[in-house]
Amino acid sequence: MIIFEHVSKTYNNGVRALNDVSLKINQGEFVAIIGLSGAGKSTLIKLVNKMIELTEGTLIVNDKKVKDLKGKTLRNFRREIGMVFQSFNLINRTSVINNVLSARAADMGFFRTLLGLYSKEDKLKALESLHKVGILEKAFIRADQLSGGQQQRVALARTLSQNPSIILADEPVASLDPITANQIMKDFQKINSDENITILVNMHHVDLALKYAHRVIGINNGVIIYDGPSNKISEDLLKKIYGRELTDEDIMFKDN
Amino acid sequence: MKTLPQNLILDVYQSRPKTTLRNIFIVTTIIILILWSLSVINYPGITESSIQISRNILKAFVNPSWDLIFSLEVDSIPFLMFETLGIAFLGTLLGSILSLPFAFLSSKNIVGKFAYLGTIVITIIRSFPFFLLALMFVRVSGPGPLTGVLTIGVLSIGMISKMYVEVIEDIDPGILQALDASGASLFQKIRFGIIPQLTANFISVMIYRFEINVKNATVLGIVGAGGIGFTLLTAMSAFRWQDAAAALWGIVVVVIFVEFFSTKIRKKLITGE
Amino acid sequence: MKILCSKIINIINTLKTKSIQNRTLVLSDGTLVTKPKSYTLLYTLILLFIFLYFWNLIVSAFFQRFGFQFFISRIPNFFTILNLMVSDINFSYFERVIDPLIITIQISLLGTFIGTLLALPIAFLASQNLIKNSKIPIVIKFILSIIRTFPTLVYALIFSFIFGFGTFIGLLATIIFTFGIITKMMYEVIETVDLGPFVAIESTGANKFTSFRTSIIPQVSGRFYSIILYNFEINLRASAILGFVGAGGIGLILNDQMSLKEYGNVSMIVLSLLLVVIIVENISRYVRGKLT
Repeated sequence: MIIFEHVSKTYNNGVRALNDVSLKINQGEFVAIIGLSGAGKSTLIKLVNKMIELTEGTLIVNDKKVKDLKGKTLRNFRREIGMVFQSFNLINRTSVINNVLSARAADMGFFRTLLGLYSKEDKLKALESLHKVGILEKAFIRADQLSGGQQQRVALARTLSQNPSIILADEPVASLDPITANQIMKDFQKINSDENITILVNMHHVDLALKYAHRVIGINNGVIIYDGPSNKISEDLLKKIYGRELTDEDIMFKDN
Repeated sequence: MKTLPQNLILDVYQSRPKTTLRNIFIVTTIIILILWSLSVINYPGITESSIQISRNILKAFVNPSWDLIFSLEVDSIPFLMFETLGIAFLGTLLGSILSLPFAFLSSKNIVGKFAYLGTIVITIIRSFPFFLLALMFVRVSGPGPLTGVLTIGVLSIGMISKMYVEVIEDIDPGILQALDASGASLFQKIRFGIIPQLTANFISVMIYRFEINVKNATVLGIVGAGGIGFTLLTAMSAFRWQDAAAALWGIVVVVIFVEFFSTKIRKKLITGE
Repeated sequence: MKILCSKIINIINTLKTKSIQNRTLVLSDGTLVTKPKSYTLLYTLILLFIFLYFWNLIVSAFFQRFGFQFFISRIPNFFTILNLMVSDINFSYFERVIDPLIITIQISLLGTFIGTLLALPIAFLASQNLIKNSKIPIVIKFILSIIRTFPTLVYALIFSFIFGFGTFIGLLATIIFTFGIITKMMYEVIETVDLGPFVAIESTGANKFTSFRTSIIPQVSGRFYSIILYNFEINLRASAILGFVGAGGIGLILNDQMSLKEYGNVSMIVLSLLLVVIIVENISRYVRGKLT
């Protein structure tokens, strides 16, 4: 469960990215955050696993006050939250399975990490995660030899092997072509329904967000404009969120 | 059908590339080599005199011969450092000029297969122990800075040619094609297509080598080829630690200066002018 | 006083505008284009000046003392020695060369190994993209540049007075030299690495060491091995000099035979060293090829 209570974030350069944001996300929800670039979507997501720190308000995730977490408690907390990035952030020169295994390294002791000794259990779990996203056969291939969509799947598998309760995705499909983007969103959907993992995605393609997420949060200038089911959103509301008419850049499939 | 994926996964697991054996082999070889090498080291232990001497040396560092540092006489530190800089400067220049033919004759895109011969010659020159070279030149120009210039000149051929070859082989043929398409003559192609690409990088190589040669020039003095190395050697042999420390300070200051400017200029060459 | 200052300011301004005028071109449609100031001529003049100064200091001084003719007459000496080395080459001397040669290899191996081990953690601490918001990297880099100013021979010389002659000081000098160079090359590689994966692994709850080990090491290991092998080659060549200060290896017998004018033996030593270097270079090139 994620609870934002009057959360604000002002960056060091004075930019007020989030302004008095309050919301509650239950376990197992699939939520998409939409809005213009710089509206505060990325900030909101990064606050959840404390990649950045809030300046005002209270943030409670999985019954823990995020503000109080640091050092070991922060690291333990992050074990339960997976993160997927726009640029995949894979370790390019190693194999796919090593990439997935790297998520389990946080639990290993000093020497095992130093020597890179993952247990058989770890390796099986990694293969299982790869199988869940459908690229088991690529397990031993070097990560940079895969296509964009496949790489993002590896990133997904990496988060899955953490056994997370929440997965955060920061523009996960922005670098992908429309067909692959759809596939990845379907993967998110499957993970959400099969494993009851909370999915919190931010994206700038409105049609994809509305298609796959149950709930949509629209942000403009750090303020929540809309927070509700994806099928109840109207053209007017979209205009309010984006502050203008939607352009081609905000839509993934042009012929809708 | 939950068991099917499990079997599939186990199969993939069994078929994983097993590099453990190879890794163990490599690690064992390295360990054996290291242990074998250890056998040749005889540790003399820390004696009374070694502690005493270390203490003296450290004391000298904090209190070097200030008079040598601040005078401008012929045997003063500033003069010697200038001399050393001069040796490095002229030597690098000489080496750069001498390297040009070697480099061009060893580049695959200029002479094709014969480049291999050139590379062998360059390797031979590079492996020639440089203080041997110095001793040979001493028979020509005596123990003095000119010997240093000649030694560094010939010595640098090895490294500079190698780097020149890399630059030459890196030439973008696209520019030549473009010039060809606009009807340029061979001379024009060289003048406008090749030379601009080369000059900035060649100069960068020269500056890099100059930096290294300043350090080499200090060492040459120890072998008798002028510069501050000689002072260092004589001072230490006579246990005049403070003079030696002065020399060392001189080296530190000059080398750091040179390194600083060299990095700045080279960065500017690559990104700016 | 004030009048003088304003006069000087006026002159500077006029010079500036004149300089801009000289550099400005007028296009056919009236647009003005000002070329940026070019300092090439200035730099070339400075270099020329430096060159002439040093030439005068070293070369002319020499010719003044000894005469140009003298110099010319002595040049053949160099080639005579070279000639003798080639013609009198003494292959049977090889059996005397083998032992010192192996010692040279051993010192280089050990020195490179230990130097590298010490370099790794320090390179990590010196990388500004890993240790953020801290002065530590800057301080470490500065200390390293001081360590790097002295070539191996100088360290060996100093140590010879503390510990006496022997292979130990050769080893120490090699370790320090290797440490200095490898740390620098390593932090240069680390600072250009992609930090995305590092952030990703940190987000899974790993500490800095684990994130570094899993995300950065695989990116740089290929280049690291390359650097280490390259350094080993340098150490092999440098160790020849160490013998000059009695630090073991072939440098010692090289110096002896040279003073005895036994050029045939000298060339045998050089040839043996050359052989080892070529073998190591080829192994190194093979391994480096396999790493990429």
